[in-house]
Amino acid sequence: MERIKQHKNIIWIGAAIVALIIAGSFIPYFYTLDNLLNVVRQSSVVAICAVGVTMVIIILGIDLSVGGIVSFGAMVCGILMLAGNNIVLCMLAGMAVGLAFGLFNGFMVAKIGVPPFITTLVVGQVAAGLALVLSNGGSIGGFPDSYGFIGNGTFLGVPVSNYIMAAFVIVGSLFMAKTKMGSQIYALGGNETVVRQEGINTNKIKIIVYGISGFCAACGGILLSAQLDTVHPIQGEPYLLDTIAACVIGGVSMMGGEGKIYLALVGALVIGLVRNALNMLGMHPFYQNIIIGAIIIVVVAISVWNKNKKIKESKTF
Amino acid sequence: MSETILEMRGITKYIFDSEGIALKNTNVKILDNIDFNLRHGEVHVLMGENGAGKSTLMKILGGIIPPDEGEMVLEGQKTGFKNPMEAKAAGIGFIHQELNLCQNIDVAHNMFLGNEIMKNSVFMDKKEMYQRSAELLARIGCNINPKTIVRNLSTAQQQLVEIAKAMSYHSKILIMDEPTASLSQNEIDILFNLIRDMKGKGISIIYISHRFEELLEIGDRITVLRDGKNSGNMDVADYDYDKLVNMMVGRTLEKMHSCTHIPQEEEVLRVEGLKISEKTKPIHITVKKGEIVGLGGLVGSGRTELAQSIFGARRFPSGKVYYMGERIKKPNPRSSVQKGIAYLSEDRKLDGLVLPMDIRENITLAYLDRFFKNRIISKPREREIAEGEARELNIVCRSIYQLVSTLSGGNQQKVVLAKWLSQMPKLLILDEPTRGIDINAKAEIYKLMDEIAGQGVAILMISSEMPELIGMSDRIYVMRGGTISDEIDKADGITQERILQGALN
Amino acid sequence: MSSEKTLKQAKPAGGWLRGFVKNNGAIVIFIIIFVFALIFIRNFASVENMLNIVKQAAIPIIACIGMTMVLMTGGIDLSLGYNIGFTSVVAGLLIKTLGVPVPLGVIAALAVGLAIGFGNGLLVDKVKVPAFITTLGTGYILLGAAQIISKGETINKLPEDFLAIGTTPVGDLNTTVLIAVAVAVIFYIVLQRSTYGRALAAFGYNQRASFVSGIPASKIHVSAYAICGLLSALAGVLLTIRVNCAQPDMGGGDYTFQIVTAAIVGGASLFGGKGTVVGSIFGVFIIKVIENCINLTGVQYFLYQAVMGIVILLALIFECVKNKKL
Repeated sequence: MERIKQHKNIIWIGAAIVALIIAGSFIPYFYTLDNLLNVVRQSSVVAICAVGVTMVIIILGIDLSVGGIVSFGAMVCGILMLAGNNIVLCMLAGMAVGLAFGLFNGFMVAKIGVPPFITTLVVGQVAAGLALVLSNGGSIGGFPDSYGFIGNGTFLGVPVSNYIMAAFVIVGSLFMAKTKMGSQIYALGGNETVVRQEGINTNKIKIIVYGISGFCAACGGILLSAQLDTVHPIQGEPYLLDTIAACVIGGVSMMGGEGKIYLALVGALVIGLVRNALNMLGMHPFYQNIIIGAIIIVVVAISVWNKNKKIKESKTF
Repeated sequence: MSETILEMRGITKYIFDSEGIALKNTNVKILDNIDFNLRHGEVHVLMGENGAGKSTLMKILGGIIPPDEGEMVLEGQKTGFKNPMEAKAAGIGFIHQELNLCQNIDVAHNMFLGNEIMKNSVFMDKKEMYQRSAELLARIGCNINPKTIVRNLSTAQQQLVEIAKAMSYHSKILIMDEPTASLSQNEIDILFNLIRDMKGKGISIIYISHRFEELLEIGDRITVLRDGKNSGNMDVADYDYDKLVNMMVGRTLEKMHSCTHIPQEEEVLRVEGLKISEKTKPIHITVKKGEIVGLGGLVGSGRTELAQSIFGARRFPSGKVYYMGERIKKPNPRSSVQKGIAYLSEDRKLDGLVLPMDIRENITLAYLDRFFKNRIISKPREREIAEGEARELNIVCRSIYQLVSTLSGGNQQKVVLAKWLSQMPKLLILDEPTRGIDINAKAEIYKLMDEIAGQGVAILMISSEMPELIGMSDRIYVMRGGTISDEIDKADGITQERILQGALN
Repeated sequence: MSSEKTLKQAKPAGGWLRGFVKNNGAIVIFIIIFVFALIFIRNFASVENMLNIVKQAAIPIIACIGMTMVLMTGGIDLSLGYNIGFTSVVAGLLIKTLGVPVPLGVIAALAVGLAIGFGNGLLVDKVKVPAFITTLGTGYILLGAAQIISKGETINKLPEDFLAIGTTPVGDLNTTVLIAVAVAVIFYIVLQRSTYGRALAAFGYNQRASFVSGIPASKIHVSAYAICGLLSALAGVLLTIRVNCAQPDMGGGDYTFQIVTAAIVGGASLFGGKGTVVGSIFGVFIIKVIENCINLTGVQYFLYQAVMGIVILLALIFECVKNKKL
């Protein structure tokens, strides 16, 4: 029973998947391998962003700059690419920009003491604004074919995007589970005072975690632009909500210290499936925002409520 | 056995103001020239009332705060610690009362936090960490699975993990702050066996406790602190109960408690069968008009919880509260304030004052709608009210527009009092009314309490200070373990010994 | 100790000017930016341009006062911009498509905004979901809902008598400005002069202490969100009138961001307690003057958002560094 309790996230995700499977059986073509692989491909950007955001939420932060950085990272990469630069260098430049914005978030949170949600909100807006400036408000596109292959090509019948996503999730999971820093990130989310008393530089950890999140968002943005063969300065905006929803559905606790990256992946896939199923049912994307917005509030409310109940129960004399 | 491992000489710590700057020119000190020494392989029990300075002294030893004066000699070497890590490296382990573990990760990760064992430059050697943790735990005779998440361990088990952790970096001195406070008898036995075992290995233990039976069972020597001073040492072999109590409470009752008020017969507050939590025993108390009722007991005995339950700032599982003969169904602060109940909280900075506001705004806060019936604040009227109260209570300030965060502790406390007395309450609940304030302000507050009791206000006062409790109260309830353990009437003679007995045994 | 000695007259610390700068940072910044613009920006110093800025600032000022109230509780309302879009569509649909009488339609739209704010407040106060998550979630719900009820289309060519609410000229200005002035005056009294405003500030500074002092903490907390919702709806209706069309993507995230920026530049604190109507007004004027300068100099308009971001970052750093020092 104790074990089941510990893994109630998995149960709840399992339930969601079962519900989707049942719902899916009413939708023609839902179960074709192509469609499912496609769902994974469409979820890949959210999943990559969620790798970073999961870490941020674990240390009791939040990253609302994901949307802006997704746009801006891709925009930097795209514009450099259209100027005829080496593709790899362009991608690295986009990633570097994301990393820099993330590190700045971390600096503001750790050193200046600005609440995470406002810092990242503002930095996201600045990033989106700079994306607008770079493209003069319009879209850019028509990237080299080799770039498009990253987004839309397949290898052994599986989309390349899926491999990239898998790489991010695996590296992220290993980092959190097996490295010293990963272990300290969890500890920091659990009790910052204790971690500091052990002589660990908590500010450094925070800055790095926000940096990782910015880096992941930029990578997600670059992948998205490769998938769409276009960069629009606000195309990242919807990815903020989906990424946070993925983390929340994946059981990453807003109270910090809890969360697994592979579960955030499951969260991203659940959202991908929901969106896919709703699309195939012919439901307008308008409804999807409502559903995902409501999911976030309900799931967070349930976890807050559970936590409060636990605290109440544990108070004794 | 008898050689000294640690000597602390002349340790002094001043009280500090809201900005953390030491106030050296007052005669109130947290620690006043304390000498303390510890021998190899002994269990040294540190005793004293709440606020006597035990925790502060240990925090200095543990490197958590620096002393203002004095020196420490560890194994013949003069030392001083800038932070907890340095103290730890020097072999001082600290088992805090509120345990210092990350609840969300497993035992092994906690034990090696910041000191992880690495397999290579990237990955940790988790297998080794689990194995070493299991060994360390086994060494203190404990078979907790190191993969258990700490949250799922009992308090006793968490304590054992902390001890094992302290042992892992070869501590020579172990500070244990009330380790048995929330343990069962069985768990205490296990802990004591462990302590004896460690003692046998030459580890010195500083053991903070309130319980007399414990010091007899495992202590070797006792040091008693009182009001920040070392009030005496004793070998357990020469144990003498009376002498020890004497050291703890002292014999000097200052004559600053004027008592001219006379309690009346009419009951203002009656509490019937109130339980402050599901597991504690019900509480019955009464407070009469013009009576000052003291509420004694140790910190954590449930005094604040009782006060907050009556006032409505906290929910309680069962029980009835009657006020002026009428039952208050579900007390809440708003209705309590409107009915004439006032509550001066224990921590004025946390829930007594709005620090970024000025004196005037704090004074009128509780009765805004009574002062300004049409809901618009009239500045002249507000000023009149605030200045009147400030003068009445002799609040020392530049003006009533001074921010309360810039006032001294005593004046801050007077502002909170002024807030509640700006509309005379019928029942005034005071939680540690003179904590952390200077002697003059104290005397003024005592005088004020006597005055308003004389005007017929019923006062329920929580206090950890014996002289205050005895000097001011007409009647005292003593609390222990969440319920009332004794009731003492002034007529029967209130003694420190009797209060202590009720609070401890 | 004599009472004269304990209670001397108030003497502003460090002189009159320092006190003014300390308490009215927004006004000082506004004056600096304004003078700078007067000197360096061509075409800035014309009566027409000034009137233009005032007209542009009117609606954001209404929304900003609402946001300031929420910030005073220590929360934030990220759904504000989406609330504007939603109420805009509600008003448009009722009045144009369904032909509801104008006053009724407007009142309905305001009531919807109030209800949305009330819902936000309940979620934050009772369920204790963090404000930014609650309002982010409700924001997206509102966006989706606005898109659904409008079927994603804009509703234009609104009835004349509806437009008249905001466009009737009053001297060189219009009724929208007049409404904003009225809102500002009312909320100046509510926030700076009434017991409610005092209680709101006390709650924002120290929730626990205000609760223990017998202030109806929950009511105050929820009411701030509700009023913010109401004022957002008013802004939504006036914005609909101004552009003569109702559409779901009016307002939105960028608008919210603009308003948060104005509120914080105007001196409202993210940590609660602090916030004034005068600050809100000058906060809006600051960002509108900057916007105006960007327009006049012909630099790329899209620079605006990035510049706004930097302005708010500076305000945040200033605020947090000051807090850390204290």
